[in-house]
Amino acid sequence: MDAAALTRKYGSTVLGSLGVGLWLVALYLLASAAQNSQAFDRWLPWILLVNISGLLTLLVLLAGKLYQLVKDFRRHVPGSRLKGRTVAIFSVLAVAPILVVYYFALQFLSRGIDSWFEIEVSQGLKDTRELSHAALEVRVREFLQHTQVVAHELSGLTDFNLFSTLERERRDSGALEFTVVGAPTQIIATSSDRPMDTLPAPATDEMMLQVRRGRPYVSLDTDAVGGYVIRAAAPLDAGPNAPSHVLIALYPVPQQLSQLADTVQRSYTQYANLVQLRRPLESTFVLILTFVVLMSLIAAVYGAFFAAQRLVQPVQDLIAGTRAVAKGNYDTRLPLPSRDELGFLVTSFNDMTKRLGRAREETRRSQQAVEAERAGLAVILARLSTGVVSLTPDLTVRTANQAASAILGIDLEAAVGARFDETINDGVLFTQFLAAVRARLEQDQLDWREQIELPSESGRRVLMCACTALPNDVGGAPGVVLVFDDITTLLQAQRDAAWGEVARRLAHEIKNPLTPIQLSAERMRRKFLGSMNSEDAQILERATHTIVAQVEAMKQMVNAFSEYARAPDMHVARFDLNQLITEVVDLYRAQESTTELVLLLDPNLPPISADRGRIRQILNNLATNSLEALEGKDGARIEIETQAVEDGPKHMAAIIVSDNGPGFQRDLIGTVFDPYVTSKPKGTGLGLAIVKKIVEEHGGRIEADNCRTGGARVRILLPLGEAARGSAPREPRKSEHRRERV
Amino acid sequence: MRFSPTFSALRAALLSVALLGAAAPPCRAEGLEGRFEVRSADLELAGGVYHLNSRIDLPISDAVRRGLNEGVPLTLEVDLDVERVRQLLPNSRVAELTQRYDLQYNAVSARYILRNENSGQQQSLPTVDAALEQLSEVRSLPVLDKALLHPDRRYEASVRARIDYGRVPFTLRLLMFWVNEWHRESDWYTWTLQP
Repeated sequence: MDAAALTRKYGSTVLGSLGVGLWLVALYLLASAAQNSQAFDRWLPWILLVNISGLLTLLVLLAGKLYQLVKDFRRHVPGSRLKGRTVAIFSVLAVAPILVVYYFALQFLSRGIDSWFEIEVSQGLKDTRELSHAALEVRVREFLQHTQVVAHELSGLTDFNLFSTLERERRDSGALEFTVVGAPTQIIATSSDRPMDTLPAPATDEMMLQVRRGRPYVSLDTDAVGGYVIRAAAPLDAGPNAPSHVLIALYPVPQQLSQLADTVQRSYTQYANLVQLRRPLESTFVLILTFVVLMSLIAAVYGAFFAAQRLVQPVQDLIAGTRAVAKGNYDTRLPLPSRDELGFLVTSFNDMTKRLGRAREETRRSQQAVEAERAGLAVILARLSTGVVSLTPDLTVRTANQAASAILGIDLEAAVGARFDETINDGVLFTQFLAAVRARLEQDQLDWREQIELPSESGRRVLMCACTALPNDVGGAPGVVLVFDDITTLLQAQRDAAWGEVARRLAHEIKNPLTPIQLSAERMRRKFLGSMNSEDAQILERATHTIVAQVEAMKQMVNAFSEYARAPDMHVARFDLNQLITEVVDLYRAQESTTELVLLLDPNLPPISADRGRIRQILNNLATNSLEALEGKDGARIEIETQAVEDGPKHMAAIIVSDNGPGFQRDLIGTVFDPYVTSKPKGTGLGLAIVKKIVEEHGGRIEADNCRTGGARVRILLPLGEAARGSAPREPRKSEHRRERV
Repeated sequence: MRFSPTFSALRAALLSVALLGAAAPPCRAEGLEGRFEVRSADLELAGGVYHLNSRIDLPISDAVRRGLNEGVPLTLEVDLDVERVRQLLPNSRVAELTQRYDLQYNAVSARYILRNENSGQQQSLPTVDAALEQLSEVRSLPVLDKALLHPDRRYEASVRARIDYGRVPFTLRLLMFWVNEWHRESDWYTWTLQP
C-alpha cells in the first residue's frame, strides 16, 4: 500500500485522534489554570481557543448528525427509525450518569470551596493577627516610654549637646534613628544607624497633629526596605530654645518577629484575597465543570450517533440490499461488517444473492436459447407457403405466419393474442374457414385432416387443413395448431393438365377420322345422288349435308381444343397496352352499334412486355363473351379499364373488362375458367379457358366475379416490370403441340 | 444577602450555561462600584519640570472598604500621555508614564500602607478614608522635562486611571470577563498643553 493510500485510509483517523488528544490536554490545562493561574497565563488564550474550537466542532458535528437523522426520518429512509431509537437509548444511557455525576460534583465543589473558608480558619487567622499585634504592642509601648524619657532628657539642651546626647541615647537604646524636628520638614538634629543615603524618616501630618495635641505617637510600620519598624514621637519639654521640638524615634523589630509578622500578614492578605475570590472562584470551577460536562454530553451524544450508526449500518445495508434484490439487481453484495451474528446474516444474504444471480443467469441463457429457437421457428414459419395458426383452448391466436394471413385474406399476425372466433370478423374466406374449424373443435376433434372448400366472389378456394392438438404443460385443455395449404392452384393445375390431355387426345383421336368421314359422305353424294329418284336424292342430300356440316362442326371443335392445347409460341415485345385496347375496341365499335364500349384507360400506364397477338386474343375473347352476353339487351354497355397496380412486390398492369349483362352464374364462378364451362347455348366453353391460359403464360393472374351493380367482371393482372414468361420452360409442351399437329 | 452553597453552585452552573449561550446577567456587585473618573488634572511647571496634579473619583463601595479592611489590596494605575498635535498627520507621542500605587491593609500593624510602586516610597495611614483620600489625589508628580516641549507647538495631555481590586488571577478575569467589579478603567481626561 503506497503512502497516498495510507494517508487516505488512516489520515482522518490520525488527525481526529490528534485533535481529540489536544482537546483533552487543553481541558486538563483549563482545569489546572483555574487553580494555578500564573503558570498558564501565557497559554490560557490558546487553551481556551482549543477548548472552544473543540466544543464548536462537536456542536457542528452533532448538529450535522441530528439534521441528517431528522431528514432521513422524514424521508422514511430505511433504518432511520431504528437509528433514532438507538441514538435515543444510547444518549439516555450516556447522559443520565453524566448528569448525576455533574450534580454531585457541583455539591462537592461548593462544599469543598466553602470548607476552605470555615469559620475556624477565619477565626484562627484573626486570632493570629491579634496575637501578633499583642506581642508587638508590648514592645511598642516600651519603646514609646523610652522615647518619652529620651525626649525629656533632651529638653533644654543646646543644639551641640542635643546632637551628642541624641547620638548617645540612640546607641544606648539600640534605636535605628533619633531625629529632633522643629516642624514637619525642619530637622534639628538626627542620629541614625541606617545607611548614609537614607533620609531621616519625615514627620507625618498625623504624627505632628497628635504630638501637638500633647499625646505621644507610636505606630508599627513596615519599612520600605523590608521588615517592621516601630515609629514613636514625643514632644520635647517646651523651653525658650525649643518651644515645639519633637523627637521622632525609629526602633527596629527583631528579625524573627518581623518574619513572623510578615508571615501572618501574608497569610492574612492571601486569605482575604481568597475570600474575595470565593464566589468567582466557585463560579469559575462550576463554569469549567459545566464546560467539561457539556462537552462530555455532546461527545456522548455524538458517540451515541457513532455507535448507533455502527449498529444500524449493516441493517440499512441489508434493507437496501433486499430492495435492490426485489428490483432484480442480484449483483448486490453487502460489505461484511464484523464476524458476529450480523456478519453471519450479511454473509448469508450475499450467498443468497449470489445463488439468485446464478439462477437468473441460467434462466436468461435458457430464455435466449428458447428465443433463438422461437426466432428460427418464426423464420421457418414466415418462409413457409403453408399457413400455420396455433390456438389456445379458448381459441385465442397464439401464433400465425404470413402464409396463413395470405391464404385466409386477413392479417392474422396482428390478431395474435385475440380470440380467434370473436375478434376477427371480417373476410369471407376466414369466416367460412372458422366455421369449418369450429365445427370440428366443438366436437372435441383435435386431430383431423380435411379438405375444406371455401366459395367466394372471386372463385372457389380449396384448403387442405390439418389440425393437431398441442401438448399442454400445465394440464387442462390442450391448444391446437392448424396447418393448411391453398391447393386451389394445384387442383386447377391438375384440371388444366387433364383438360390438356383431353384436348390432345381429341385432336389425335377425333380429328383424323373426320376428314375421311367428310370425304366419304361427299363421295357418296356425288356417286349416288344422280342415280336416285328425287325423294331418295333429297334424303341423301340432307344426310350427306348433315354429315359434312357436323364433321365441319366437329373440326371446329377439335381446332378449338387444338388451340387450347397448343403450346405457346410467344413473341414478346414492349408495346402500349392502352393503344392495343383502343385498336381492338375500334374494330368492335365499327361492327356494333347497339352496345356502348367505354374505355377508362390509365394514361400513366407504362408499356408492358408481352405477346401482342395473344393479348389481342385475350381482348377479343373477353369482348366477344361480353357482346354475346349482352345480345338483345337495351343499354348494353361494356367498360374496359386499365390501371397500374401493386400486387405485393410486383408492378402489374390491370385490365378490367366489365359489362352490365346477367353476369356469371353463381355456381359457375369457381369454374368459369375451366374448359367446357359455359352458360351460353352455342359456346364451346373454351374462351375464358384460353384467356386464363394466355394470362398464366404471361405470368399474370385472372379473376372473375360479378359487379355489385350486376354484370360480369373479369380482372387481369399482367406483370409490368418483367418480361412475360419465356418459351424455354415451355419447350416440352411446344414439342408436344408440334407432335399433336402432325 | 447570602446564599446557600448549593444554591450558589447551581446559580453558577446556570450562569455558566448562560455564559456558553453568550447571555450572562451581571452578578451582585461585591467589588468596585460607582463612578470612576479623572475629575481634574493639570501639569504644573516648577523648576523646569512639569508636575502632575490630579484628582480621581474612585469607585469605592462599602464592600470595598470592608474588603480593604480585611486585607484585600487595591491597586491604582495612573496613565499620563502627552502628544504633540499635528494638523494632517496623527499626533506624535512625546511622553507617556504610568504611575502605580498599591494600597493594602497591614493586619499586624493595623495600618493602611500606600506604596508608590514606581519610587518605592510608602505611607502608613491609620484609616481607610485617609488612605483612599491619599490615593485619590496625585500631587506634584514630576512627569516631564520642559525641554522636551517646543514652545511653538501645541500639545495634548491625557490622564487615565485604572483600578484593580484584589489579586484576581488572569484565568478568572478571562473566564469571567463579564464581571467588572475587580477591574475598571476610566475615560481619558484630556486637555491642551501650551508650553
